Amino acid sequence: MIKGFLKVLFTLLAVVAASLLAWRFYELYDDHPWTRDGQVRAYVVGIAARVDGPMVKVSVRDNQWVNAGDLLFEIDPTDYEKEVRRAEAALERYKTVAANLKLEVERRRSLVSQELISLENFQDLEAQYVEAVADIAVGEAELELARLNLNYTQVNAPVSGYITNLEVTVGSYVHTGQSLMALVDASSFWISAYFKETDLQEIKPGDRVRVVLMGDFFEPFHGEVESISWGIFREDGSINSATQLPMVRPTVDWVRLAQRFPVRIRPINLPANIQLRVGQTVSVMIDPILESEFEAKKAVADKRAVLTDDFPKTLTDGRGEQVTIKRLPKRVISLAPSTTQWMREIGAESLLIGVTNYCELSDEAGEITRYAAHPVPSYESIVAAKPDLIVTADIADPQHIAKLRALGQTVLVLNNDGYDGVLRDGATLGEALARQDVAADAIAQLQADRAAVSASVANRDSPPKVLLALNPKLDFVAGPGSYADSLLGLVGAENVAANASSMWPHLSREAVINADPDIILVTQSLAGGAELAQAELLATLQGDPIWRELTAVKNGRVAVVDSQLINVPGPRIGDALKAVHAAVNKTQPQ
Amino acid sequence: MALSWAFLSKGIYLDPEMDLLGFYLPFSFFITIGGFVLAWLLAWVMDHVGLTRFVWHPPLFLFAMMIGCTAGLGLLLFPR
Repeated sequence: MIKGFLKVLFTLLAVVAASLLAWRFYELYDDHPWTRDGQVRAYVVGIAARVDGPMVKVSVRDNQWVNAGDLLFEIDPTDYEKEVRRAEAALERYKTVAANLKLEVERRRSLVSQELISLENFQDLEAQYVEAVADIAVGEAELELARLNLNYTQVNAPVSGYITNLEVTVGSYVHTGQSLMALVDASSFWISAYFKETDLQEIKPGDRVRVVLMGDFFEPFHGEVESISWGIFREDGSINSATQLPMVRPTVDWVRLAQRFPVRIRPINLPANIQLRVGQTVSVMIDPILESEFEAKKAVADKRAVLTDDFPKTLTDGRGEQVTIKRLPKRVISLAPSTTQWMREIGAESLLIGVTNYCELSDEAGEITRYAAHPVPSYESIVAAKPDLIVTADIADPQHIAKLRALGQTVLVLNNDGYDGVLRDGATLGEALARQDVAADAIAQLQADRAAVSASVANRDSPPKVLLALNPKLDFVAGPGSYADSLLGLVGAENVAANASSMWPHLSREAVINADPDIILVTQSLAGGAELAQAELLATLQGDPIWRELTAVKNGRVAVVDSQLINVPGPRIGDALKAVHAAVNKTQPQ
Repeated sequence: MALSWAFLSKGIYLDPEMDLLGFYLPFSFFITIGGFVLAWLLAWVMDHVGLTRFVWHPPLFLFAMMIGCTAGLGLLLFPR
């Protein structure tokens, strides 16, 4: 009896487990719509000539890569050169005729006032002169047109991409508007996947997508749903052209097939070994993002749309200048390492088209043009890059800024003046790029960092005397008004060089000995490891016959601070402050 | 073959559609066959060690095992 019951229970358990698994699998399958009917697409530019004539030169081969502006082919220019010369000669003639008539009019003006010729005669001549002047304008326009036509004999690539379907060669006679080859715009590849209308509810813009090319099954790559089509053609309801009435079939099939709609997918992080070609077949599977994630993304996008609408706007930059930004900047050149860091911090690194040789970029940034900013910016190349906005910092020479502005550039100078100044810089740049929200987050974090450090030094009895030097020779040190000096103030230390004459004064050995700091901080690259740098610094200072007599060296109250943090007065000021705070604390006597 | 390659090269996953000697088949085809074979193997092993004695309704049990193995494989190897 018991055994019989166990047998039934055991079997039913297996059935229940199978049902649960099957249900879970069905849910997973239902949440991930997929289709094998997808294709790679791109914008294809049909290349045609704007003038007639035989081809004299074809500079491209079929399926070749071309950059925008490269010469594709050339039509025999001889006729068009002759046309230019004819138009030039005609213009010359019109000018001569007009000049002669002008002399004639001047001569007869006095005759008509003396009533030696009739007024009618004079006015006829005057009308002829006006006509001749108008002829000059016609001649000029014709010459311009002839020159344009001559220019049109050379056909250049309008976009960068691949030439394909090239079926003409030297000697082919081409007509205006005749399609000669296709140019696949390489920056425009997208994927159209056709999903059943029953699946569309599951698909949202922003969903992650797994894409597999037919033939490359082991190289799946990812994409993102950009948009879903708003319409397809259907026969039922289409207008019959003869009667102007909609055509509707009288039967409805018992088997109903779902219509399918194109879903547009943008590939992301395409592997280097995958080559997209227009028309390739792909399988696509949707990996839906969570509803909450989608809402958050949408909220950010909506907010951004409001912010980006707010142009033109006028900002006061770090030097008190009023800078008007006409529209949302899309191409930005940063001429200072600190502004480049701010661009990264507010997530605007992708807008950068140029930076200085000293700027640090993230690994995702790719190739960005480096411009010389010091001692003189390379004006020509900067202007040629057509930036919407140039950002730079207080290190920039006012004359250079003035010259860039005279060249029609919008230049925003940030001032990097102490901790508050850096916070202001972030707010200004955020405003300029419509990223106030992101900038505000970064600023709030920096304020929190400062508050934490202030709280921890609030109960200090007497401020320690600190010397912050740029190298172990202790010659160049942080002086009053410098960025590093403001950090020392915030960590509750007294800068021994506070009364020096410049921001980065050169101190003599006597001055350092007289000041006899409690703590010595030296900025250094920590690439080799902080502990090692620390030990080396102490050894260097103890090895020096004069420095070893300093109180700080005797007590071992010497520390290194990462120069990467101290040298650039950008959004890493919070980290810099914490590093200085830690260095001062580390050397506290126990 | 496609299956073993997928295992070897990229860890455990399937493509939504797989190439079997020129036939393009959806992944559910492979997991169904895999699930049935797995269930049958399990049943064979259970029979050998004498566990089938504890089964009340062998056809129902085998059917549940087939469904369960198929769904389990599907959950495990779902394309991602």
